[in-house]
Amino acid sequence: MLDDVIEKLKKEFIDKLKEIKDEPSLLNLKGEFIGRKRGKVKDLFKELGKAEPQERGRLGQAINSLKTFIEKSLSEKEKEIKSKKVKTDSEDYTYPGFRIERGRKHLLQQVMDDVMDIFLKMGYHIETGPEVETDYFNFTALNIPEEHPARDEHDTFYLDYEKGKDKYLLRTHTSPVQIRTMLKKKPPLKIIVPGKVFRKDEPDDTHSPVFHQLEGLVVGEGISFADLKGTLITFLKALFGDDIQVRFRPSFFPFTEPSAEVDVLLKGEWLEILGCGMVDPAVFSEVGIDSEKYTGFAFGLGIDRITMVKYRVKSLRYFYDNDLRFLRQF
Amino acid sequence: MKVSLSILKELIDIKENIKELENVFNNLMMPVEEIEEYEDDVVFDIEVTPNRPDLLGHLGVAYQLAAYYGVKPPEIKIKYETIEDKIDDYVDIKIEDERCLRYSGIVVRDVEIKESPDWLKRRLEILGLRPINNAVDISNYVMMVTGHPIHTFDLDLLKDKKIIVRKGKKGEKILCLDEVERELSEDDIVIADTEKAVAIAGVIGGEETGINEKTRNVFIESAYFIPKYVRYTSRRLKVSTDSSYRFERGADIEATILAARYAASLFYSMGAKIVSGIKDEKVKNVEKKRIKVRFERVNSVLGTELKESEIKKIINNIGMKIISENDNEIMVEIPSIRRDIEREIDVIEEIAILYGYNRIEESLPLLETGVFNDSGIKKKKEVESILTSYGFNEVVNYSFLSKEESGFSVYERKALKLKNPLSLNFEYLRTSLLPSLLKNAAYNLNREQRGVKIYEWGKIYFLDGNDYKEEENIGVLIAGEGEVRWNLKNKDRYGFFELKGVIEEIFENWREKVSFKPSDKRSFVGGISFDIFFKDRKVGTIGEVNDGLKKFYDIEKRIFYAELYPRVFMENFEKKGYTEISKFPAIWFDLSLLIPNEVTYAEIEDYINSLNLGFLEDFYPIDIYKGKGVEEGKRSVTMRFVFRNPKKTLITEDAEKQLSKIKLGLENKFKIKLR
Repeated sequence: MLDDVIEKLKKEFIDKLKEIKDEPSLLNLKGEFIGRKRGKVKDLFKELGKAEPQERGRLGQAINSLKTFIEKSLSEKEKEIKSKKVKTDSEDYTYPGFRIERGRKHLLQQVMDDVMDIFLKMGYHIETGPEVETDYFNFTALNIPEEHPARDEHDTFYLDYEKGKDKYLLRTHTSPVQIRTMLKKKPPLKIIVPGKVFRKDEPDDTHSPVFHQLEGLVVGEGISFADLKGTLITFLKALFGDDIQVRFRPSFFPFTEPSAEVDVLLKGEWLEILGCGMVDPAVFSEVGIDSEKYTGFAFGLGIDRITMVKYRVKSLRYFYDNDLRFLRQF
Repeated sequence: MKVSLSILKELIDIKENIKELENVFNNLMMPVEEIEEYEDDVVFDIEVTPNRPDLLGHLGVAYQLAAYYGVKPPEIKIKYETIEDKIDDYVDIKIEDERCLRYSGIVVRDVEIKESPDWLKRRLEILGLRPINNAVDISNYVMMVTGHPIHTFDLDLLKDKKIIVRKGKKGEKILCLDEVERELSEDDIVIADTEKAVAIAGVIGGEETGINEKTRNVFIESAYFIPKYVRYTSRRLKVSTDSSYRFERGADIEATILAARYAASLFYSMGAKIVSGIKDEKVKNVEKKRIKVRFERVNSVLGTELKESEIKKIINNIGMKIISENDNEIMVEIPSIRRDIEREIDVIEEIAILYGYNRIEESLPLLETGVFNDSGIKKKKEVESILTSYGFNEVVNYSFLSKEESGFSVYERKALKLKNPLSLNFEYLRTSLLPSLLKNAAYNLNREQRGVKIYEWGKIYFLDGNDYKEEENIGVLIAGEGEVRWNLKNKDRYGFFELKGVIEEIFENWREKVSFKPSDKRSFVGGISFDIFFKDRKVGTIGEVNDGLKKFYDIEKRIFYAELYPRVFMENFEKKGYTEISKFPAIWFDLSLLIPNEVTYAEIEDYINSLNLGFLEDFYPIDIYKGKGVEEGKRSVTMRFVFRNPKKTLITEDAEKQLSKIKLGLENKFKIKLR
């Protein structure tokens, strides 16, 4: 009877399915049982006409459910074959990829590059100067004469070296390059000065005897404090994002007037990020620039400080320990 | 400087809004470092920049706040009555040293030295000062309120009741209030009686004439000394006091009488009697400064469009007097408390501060400065990218070394010494990057790192004869082995050839080649050591770090180090034009050569190059073998020779002809046979 045929066919399918190991034979099996044109299940439907009319409905359902069973079993088998294929094939593609050990630039240099790039895009030129400076360029020419109390704030390393009358020291800021540039080139000037600077501070989380600055100087006709503000706000937005809040506070530097400190608001806290101001007429007169005709502004930013703020580095020491586990994070 | 809100409120009419005041202080060049809130007072600890001595007293601070709020200028309330005695009968004053520009004083009688009243003790405590006795406390309090330091003497201890302001004498000594005896010099300004020095002017008083329990009559000194001389003495004697701190930055010459009178009124309030008359000796009258301020200049420096009336209003509020004016400018008189204001730009700054920095609308400078084009920056980036892509991490180090380390150099150069180093570990400037990188290697090898690949591009400093010089070098260091990974195995050891390869690659960036010539004198070298040459120019050194140095830094692994002088490529190198890529095929042969150990690969290379074979495009070793099957004293080097005729397809016979020249030549010259 047809019931027996259906049952037999199901058993036959189950037996054959067990033997299937790969996709091609699975496809063959599919064709044999539920192929569109020919197929054993299709043949069963043909048999249906021969059955008793009152039995046809029930038998039809039984054949349909057989068909559904076969389809489901085939698709499960297919999944099984595919997943097995990865495991049993000659290669396992789930190992980590081949990695070549790549080096990194030091985080401070990366930030220095970022900062320089912003200013280069704004049309600035790069100037550099020596790390060992004379007292004249580091202080006197910048309107910080010998007896000026502002010298107390620059704990200076002096060299055991003499030539001529001038004292030699490790520059305490990049500002001497302002003087060197203005002596050598005529306005208009629009320069940045990257470099290492030195202060006699015991190393701790917030102090280092060596750190990095980027100095900026713009000299020309009609340069104003408003230009200084615009320039620095543009820069800080480029570095920290357009939403950064910036404030200017009056401050004092002997070589600029008016002078300001600039703070940015990060995570609800105002953080001091750079110092700036209009070039003091005394500095212009030292380098022979007519301060009635030309005005200018200067700014200096601590790269170490900006890096700490931007990458939330807790201690300056990390920068100079050169621990590879730190350096490789950036 | 600690500023008490209670004191400010006695001087000017301001409201108590702490948050707003903090902001105002910040905007008036008095950044607030801390706010201390007490039950009876609020203290703002403000930072005072060296140019603003006027802010070292509450009076000066109050002037700024009054200007900001546009309220009446501050006023110190002084109230006392005098007795009939005349001051001339009590004390005589003579200025012999004209570095003291003004010397004022008041005599107070029948003082009882005792504890100060509670209000005064409390005020001092809040301001961070320790109450001592009423006379000392009055001095300190007057200084904190007026900003002007005063000194009190026990009048009865002044010999002949005479005060002479004179130069110190060589060898002269004074026992000071801090119980230290100090030796004076002719450069110091000294307060003396007829017999001895009784105070170092503006710095510290003498113990012998100081206030003591028995003091009955007090002379209040309130003077003005030229700042730089006070600073000189304070530094020479290494003594800094609240008084010297203010005098060396510049006190207010007009405030001497005010300070003395305020002190007198405080003594009076505690029951003392004030002798009538005030001593006031002056070397000369100091005129108030007058400064011309141009409206147009104010706006051009600030980039603002302030109206004349706005500028004048701000000027008035700061307490500057407008003496005369016309359409373009005003002449202003500067109050003596503002020593820092000397030029038009100083007044402009003052206007900017009172107007508010944050109200100035920003613009961008319009300057034509051309395009910056410096090949050095680009070259540096290229070399850095070669180093990093070869796996080297950049390090940044201090420039200082200990004396011993300063000798670990790739040069024999004289190192510069610091006069005032942080410590003996940081006494010399490095003449080579080697010690810095060794330190970094040791640090990392001691912290879980199997291998270290690092470079530093930094300055070295040295004496060239008598001339100081600084140059940039690149130090490159390699040590240990790579991390073990499933694809890399353990064999990925960092050695000499990894280091040599990256050096060669740097020059290859410009398609240039360097040669490595054996050198024997460099201190860091163990067995392997070469000088690196580009043509005839020495451009660096490479080698293995010797055991002595490794021991110093406590390193066990082999370390290879190179130091390059980038000047050669920074100055001279340019990228070359391209070479035509041949359309015709190459033919290559691999030869296994048995090379005697005394013959170097470099010699073979030089010899083959010297043959000038037209079709030989390239040759290089592909395998090196020593051991079984190769006789003692020799090694087998398999080399690949690539031949090509750039103009047409090369015939095998032509290539073979040139190859046999190589074989023959190597056999004749070096006794090299094929394996």
